[in-house]
Order: sequence, then structure tokens, then C-alpha cells
Amino acid sequence: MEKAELAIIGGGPGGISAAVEAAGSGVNVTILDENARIGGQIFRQLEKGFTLTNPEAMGRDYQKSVDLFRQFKKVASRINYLNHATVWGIFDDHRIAYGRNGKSKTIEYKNLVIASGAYDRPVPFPGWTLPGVLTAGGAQNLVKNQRILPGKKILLAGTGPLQLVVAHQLIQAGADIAAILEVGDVKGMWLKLMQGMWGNWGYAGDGLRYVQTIHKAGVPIMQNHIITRANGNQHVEEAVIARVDKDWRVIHGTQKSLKVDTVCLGYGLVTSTELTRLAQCDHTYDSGLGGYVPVRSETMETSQKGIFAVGDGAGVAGSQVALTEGQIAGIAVVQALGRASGAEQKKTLAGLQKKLARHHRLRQVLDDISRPRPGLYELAEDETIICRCEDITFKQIKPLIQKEGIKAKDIKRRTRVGMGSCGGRMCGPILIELLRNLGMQVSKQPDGLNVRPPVKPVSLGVLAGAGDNQ
Amino acid sequence: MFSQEAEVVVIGGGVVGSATAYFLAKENKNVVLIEKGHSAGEASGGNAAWVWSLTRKAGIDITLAMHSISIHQQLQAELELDFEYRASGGLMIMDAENQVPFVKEHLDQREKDGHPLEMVDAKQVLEIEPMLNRDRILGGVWNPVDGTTNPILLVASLNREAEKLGVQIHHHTEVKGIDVSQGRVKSVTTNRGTIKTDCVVNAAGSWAGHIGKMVGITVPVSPFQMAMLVTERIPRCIFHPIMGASYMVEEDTGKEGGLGSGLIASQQVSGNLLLGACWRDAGFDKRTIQEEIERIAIVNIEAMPSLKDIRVIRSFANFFPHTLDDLPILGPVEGVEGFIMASGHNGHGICLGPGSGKLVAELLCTGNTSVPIEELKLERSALSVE
Ligand SMILES: Cc1cc2nc3c(=O)[nH]c(=O)nc-3n(C[C@H](O)[C@H](O)[C@H](O)COP(=O)(O)OP(=O)(O)OC[C@H]3O[C@@H](n4cnc5c(N)ncnc54)[C@H](O)[C@@H]3O)c2cc1C
Ligand SMILES: Cc1cc2nc3c(=O)[nH]c(=O)nc-3n(C[C@H](O)[C@H](O)[C@H](O)COP(=O)(O)OP(=O)(O)OC[C@H]3O[C@@H](n4cnc5c(N)ncnc54)[C@H](O)[C@@H]3O)c2cc1C
Repeated sequence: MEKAELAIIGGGPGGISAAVEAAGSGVNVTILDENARIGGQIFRQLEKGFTLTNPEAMGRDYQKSVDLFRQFKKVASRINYLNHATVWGIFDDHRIAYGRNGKSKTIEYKNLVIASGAYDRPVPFPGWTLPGVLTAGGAQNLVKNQRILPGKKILLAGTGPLQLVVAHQLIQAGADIAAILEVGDVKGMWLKLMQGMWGNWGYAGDGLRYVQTIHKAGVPIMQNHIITRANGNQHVEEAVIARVDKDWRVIHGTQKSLKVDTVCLGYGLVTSTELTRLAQCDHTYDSGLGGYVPVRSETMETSQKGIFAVGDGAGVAGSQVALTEGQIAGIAVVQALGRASGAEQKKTLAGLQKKLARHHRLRQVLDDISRPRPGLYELAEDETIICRCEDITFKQIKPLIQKEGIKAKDIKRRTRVGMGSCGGRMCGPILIELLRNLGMQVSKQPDGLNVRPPVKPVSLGVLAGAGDNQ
Repeated sequence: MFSQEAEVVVIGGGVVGSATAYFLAKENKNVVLIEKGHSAGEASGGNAAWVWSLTRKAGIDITLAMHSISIHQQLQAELELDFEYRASGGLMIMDAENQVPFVKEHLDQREKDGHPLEMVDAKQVLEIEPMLNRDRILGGVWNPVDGTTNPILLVASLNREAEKLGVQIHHHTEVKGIDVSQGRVKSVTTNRGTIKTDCVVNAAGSWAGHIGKMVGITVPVSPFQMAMLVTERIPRCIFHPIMGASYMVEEDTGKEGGLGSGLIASQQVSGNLLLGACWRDAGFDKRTIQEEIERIAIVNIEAMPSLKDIRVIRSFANFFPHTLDDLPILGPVEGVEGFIMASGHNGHGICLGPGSGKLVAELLCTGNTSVPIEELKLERSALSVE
């Protein structure tokens, strides 16, 4: 069995900064990430052809991440970076199981940092599973990495800054955008919003540049608007949009239809918590932070001693927060292993925590606008699919969610919602929000939708260690 | 409204308690069913879903199984909501020489008992299940009456019909105590109130011992863990439940703290494969461990190498109510009048549950049972630890 003083799951900004910090103080680190390339979500957004040697190609909003990758190179000798490594389980006795090169392997760790990131928030409405409806992240991936336009006439619907980034990128790539719907109330808050979101997501200057591109292209940004339905035979042909009130509830009589062939949804991100849940860390629910988030100490340690959680996976707050949190966790691990002098680290920690507090204040602005409101989860109709893996419609779960005292767990047993191949990543957050809308107390622990290994699909051959070596 | 009074209070909304409540209600008994979580929320909701009698031993074991299978058939005809019961036939495969004498002995005993089984050769095994590893198969046993069901739907269907017949079902309600005076049950206390009754059925599965304590008796039922894997949906490739004959040889492996494993494989109506199994004594822990997951994968890949690239989407473990002699505990208890046992259905409660429910209902309504259950009483010697 391999051993690691510090194992890190996730090679995004959070994981990398923890690694740099710890390795810089002499700790032996193993990073596991399922992707081919280092860098997590940020790196996936990069132009093709980018290498670590020409960071300028990334643009200013990635500069900080680039600085980090530079530092990473300096301490790389103490870091064992395992790409294509899918962590499928965390078990007692400090063990992680992962699949790589057709084999299942085990690492025994002393300390563990979970930096698993976040993904696009799923929102069910009539037509959301039609071909032609994609997530903002998915659209971004198409244009930036594969240089493919997702469609001819595109509607962007959602909330928050990622929409503007995507719009900018789409326009640059020559796309025709019908409109950008911002469901939140941004009135009179543009400046604050710019400072707020771009304080975390990049730099205010970039934000302004994006808005300018959008204006120049004549694309309307429609505030307090939502998409209520996507219509089409086989593929999106039309989107129905409507004005919403402050709770994001549709104002009747304001519906109108737009002829589009593509819809990009960007309702923010939800945390990937399957690993912290599997490790039996305590969680709390915070819809502004992207759903369930692990409870953490000031040094990012979870309720399980020696297990830390950082970055978007521990609360969606952007790459700058991920970087800072990773650094804090890295220092805490160094201290736990007795490799630090103490005084100096304490000072650094205090500085980082201050920085974090500032980021979180900025993030509040984003929260005020983008934290999901009840109306967002009232769009589903009887035939709307709630669980894509198991083809379960709203009609099937409606009588259950209205039952007194029902728990997510009961609904799962009765309908199979959450039992498909995504392990509840898609329908789990939907179900919780539907229950919350009905005034249901959401339990502190996400016990309703238990995670069981493997947390990501792994072939029987890999589990049996019988796969080919490639 | 919480129930004040009942002729019978059934504790436990698993397959056993749900069947008991249904059959009692059919005989016009006034019944309250108490479940601390949700119906089929425990063993009856997470299992292999087999209705299986092939490995049941001659004697009361197979008698109960065959009786219960007839009740599954009856329920299929009379319950409104379909629960996907299919008597497809079941297959046991032999893939090691040491299994053969055990299997032959089993077939002999069953034949003598009037419940014969059919031995099939390797060629026939592969005709029944073409995906099996032809290099390993020595032969098998075929049993046409076996099959699979959907236990969650079965319980939902029993509950729905019982409610129509007037049964009050209280979910998320936990039995906290049972009042006994002068050797008779008087009432059942829950976290939501007390119900006056002179009859309680202990169908609390692995928790049967906790309920026993409430009336001052020891019920030797303990939770025993079994783990399985679920794969992604794939086109139909396993047509019947398949069990490895190692179960006939190493039945007790793992029951003393180690980790036992053996092949069980079937495919759900949805297309997901359900593969097992490992078992171990883990108390009330439902988590799966790495060794279990890897061991199950190995066992299944050996038997069906072509499954190598099929992806596992989840593992799960659950515990079943275990007794030392692998038989359920059914019927009245000495010294506590009105306290009826219906637990300890081990790894075959889905098969046995409907039958046990029927027998307990007969006992309470007529004083007799269509299958004699004297051998299954709590006081039998096979249950004492010595
Ligand atoms: C779709 C999308 C678009 C975004 N666009 C922008 C943008 O344009 N500008 C901007 O500034 N910010 C953007 N962000 C935000 C930014 O990417 C994140 O804030 C930042 O990457 C968070 O860093 P992290 O380290 O927490 O997680 P991530 O960067 O997400 O890294 C987590 C890594 O862990 C890996 N992982 C997770 N589970 C496992 C497992 N079980 N086994 C192995 N590996 C695993 C993931 O594959 C991933 O590589 C975007 C985020 C998303 C999701
Ligand atoms: C992995 C696995 C696979 C299996 N496969 C098969 C199979 O293929 N075929 C087969 O025949 N059998 C199988 N079994 C066995 C079968 O699942 C069990 O024997 C059967 O479900 C037991 O039913 P039950 O009603 O006695 O118990 P349960 O279903 O556990 O029901 C007991 C109920 O009592 C409730 N309860 C307990 N205490 C209280 C209280 N104080 N107040 C109120 N309620 C209470 C519990 O919440 C629970 O719901 C399998 C078991 C496992 C674990």
C-alpha cells in the first residue's frame, strides 16, 4: 500500500495551493485528480495549446492561478501528482481507494485535503432535458476548448457572473445571442456586483470589459427574467421566458416566446460533497454556498480529525477563496506534522484568514443576487423529468413530497430517485430544494441521500484489479 | 390522529410486519402498524430481491419457503399494485470439485423430503445463462419455482391494501415501551402516544431483541451484514438469479467475524445488475468496506468475465435479522401473553415474509396455523448459545 503524509483529492486551485504550501515545508504530498491535466475547473476553461510556460496567454483573471502553477513547479519534486486517478472511496483506517490505469489502488494517508470542486446547479423546468439545453459550463467548454459554437441562436438564462463570462466568450467566437436573462435583481447594483463578483472571480476590469462586449453586440440583458419552458421536437426550437418577482416567481401574463435553438443555463454552482459525506464529516445546508457544505474549523479541518476540505467543494466561493483556503489547510497540515516553527506560520495564517473574510464579504453581494429563491424550483410540471438517470417525473414524486413528515430517504426508496449512475449528483440538489420549498426542515446531515462507494462509476474489472494495464 | 386502541399492534413495517398487518386486516382485525422510519426502509428495502428456495434445507426450512412462495403467487393475483414478482426459475452453479458432494447430498435430502431439485450439466447451465464462464462451470442445479420480486413495491402494495382495509400505519413512530401486567400485554408506548392493546406482534427485524427487552425476554436475533454492488443499466444479459454453490460448502464463513463471500447475480427489471455478496458481523453498520467491494467484483468477474467493463455505480450493505439456526422465530412466547414473535428471517425474509405474515394472522384469528410452527418457537434449544 502506498503511503502519504498528505493526500489531496482534486488538482484545482484549492488542492494545488494546499500542496504547494505543504510541500514547500518538506511534506511529501500525493495529489489525485481524475483529469488528464492539472489545474481543475479553471484550467479546463483555458485556451487550447496553453502550457505552463506562457501564462500570459491566460488573461489576467487566471494570473493568480498561473503564479500558483509556477510555485508548484518549484516544489514538484516532493509532489506525486497522479492524473487519471478517480478516487472511488474513502474508508476507515485513513485509506483512500482509487482507480488508475485499469487497477484499483489504495493510499494510506496521515492527513487528507478534499478539494473536489463544484458543478452547475441543475434546475428542472419543462424541456430542460431537450437536446439544445446545456449548462453554461458546458457551453464554455465547447467554445473555449473545442472551438464549437453550441448553436445558431442562443439564449442564456441564469444568474451571476459566469453568464457574463460565457456571453463574452460566445460573442467573441461569433455566436448570435438572443438575450441574457438574469433572474436576480441587479437594479442599481451593477457597480457593487462588479466589485463583488469579480473580486472573487477575477478582476473588476474584466467584468466591465465583458459587459461592454455584450452591449456592443446589442445583446439585451433582461433582469428579473427566467426561462419557464423550452419547446421543440427532438431539439430546442423555442424558449418561453417570463418576468419574475423578488422570490423569482413567475408574474403571470408576462410570458413571451423567443425563437432560439440553444439554451445555456447558469444558475450558479453546487458543491461536490460526495467525498466529505463518505468520510462522515458533519455538514450543514447553505443554499448560498451551493447546498450541503462540510462544517470546518478556522484551519479548514472538518469534524473528522486530519481531514480538511477547501475550495468550491466546501462552499462555492470562487478560485481566489479556493487558493486561500488551500494555503490555510496546507499550513495546518504542516503544523499537525510538527514541521513548522510556529510563530511565523501563525502570522501567515492570521493574514490569510483576514483575506478570506474580505472575500466572503464580497461574496455576500453575489449571494444577495444569486442565492436561489423559491420560484426557481416551482417551474417543474407533471411530466418534467426530475431524475434523468432513472427517468423519474415530477408527477411520480409529487404525492410523496407532499406527505407529512416525509424524508428524502423515503422518496428515494419509493421512486428510485437518486439511485442512478450519477449517484444523486443531479437529482439530489433538486429534491432537497423541492422539499425546502414545501417548508420542509432540511436535515443538517445530508443523510437522506446516502453516498456509498464507488462515488464515481468504476468498472468491475478495475475493482477486481483484473483490468488490462492500459 | 394518533391511534388510541387496537386489537393488534404490529411493530415493524418490513415485509414481515406489512404482510402480517395485511392478512390480519383481511380477517377484520383492527390493526395498527408502527414503523420507526418508513416502510421497507430497512432490510426489506435493500436486499437482493430474490424469492428463492433452491438452497433451503429439507424439513421446516423448505416447507416454510414453499408455503410462502404460494403466498407470493396469491398476493400477485389479489393485490392491486404490481410488484414485479417473476418466477423465472433459479440457477445454482458449481465451479469447484469440492462443491459437488455437498450439492449431491442436498439434492438427496430434498428428494427424500418431497421437494426434489433438478441437476443440470455444464452445457445446460450455459444454455440457461450464456454469459457464464465456460471454462469454470462443472454443472448446476435448476429450480423452476424460484425468481425475483420488487420488495419495496411488495411492501408498498401490502400497505396500500391494508390501509384500504382500515389498518392505521404510523411512519416515523418508534415503539419505546410495552406495558405488561400480570403476564399480559396491556399497551404499547411510542414517541407519539400510547396505544391500548392486548396483542403485539414483534416484527422488528434486526431490532427484535430491543423489543423483547421491553417485555423482559431475550430474543436471540442479531444484525448480520450483507453487501452488494449495483451496476449501470445494461441490456438484458442475466436471465435468472444465479448463485454459486460455494454457499453450500462455506455457509458459515464470516459468521464469526471474518469476511465471507460468494456469487449471487441477477438483473433488475430496470437493467441494473445486482451483484453479491460479502457478509460479515458489523453490528448495525450499513457502510461497505473496500475489501467487500473488491471481493464482490472478483467473484463476479471470475464467474462472468465479460462483465469486466461494466461500471459499478454504487455498493450497499444492509443487515438482516440473524438467528443461530438460520430459521425464523414465530409464534407466542412463554410467560408474556399477547406477545407474538415474527422475526429472525435471516437472509431469506423476502421469500419467507408473506408466508410468515399469513401464519401469524392465522394463529391470532383461529389459534391454528396451516404450517405447524411449534419448531419455530423462541424457546427452542437451537437458539441457545451453548
Ligand atoms: C463550469 C464552471 C465554470 C467556471 N468558470 C469560471 C470562470 O470563467 N472564471 C473564474 O474565475 N472561475 C470560474 N469558475 C470557478 C472556478 O473554476 C472555481 O472557483 C475554482 O476552480 C475552484 O477551485 P477548486 O480547487 O475548489 O475546485 P476545481 O477547480 O473544480 O477542482 C476540483 C478537481 O477535483 C477533481 N475531483 C473531484 N472529485 C474527484 C474524485 N472523486 N477523484 C478524482 N478527482 C476528483 C475534479 O475533477 C477537479 O479537477 C467556474 C467553475 C465551474 C464549475
Ligand atoms: C443485502 C441483503 C440481501 C438480501 N437478499 C435477500 C433475498 O434475495 N431474498 C430474501 O428472501 N431475503 C433477502 N435478504 C433478507 C431479507 O431482506 C430480510 O430477511 C427481510 O427483509 C427481513 O424483513 P423484516 O420485516 O423482518 O425486517 P425489516 O425489513 O428490517 O423490518 C423491520 C422494521 O422494524 C422497524 N423497527 C425496528 N424497531 C422498531 C421500533 N422500536 N419501533 C418501530 N419500528 C421499529 C424497522 O425500522 C424496520 O423497518 C437480504 C438481506 C440483505 C441484508
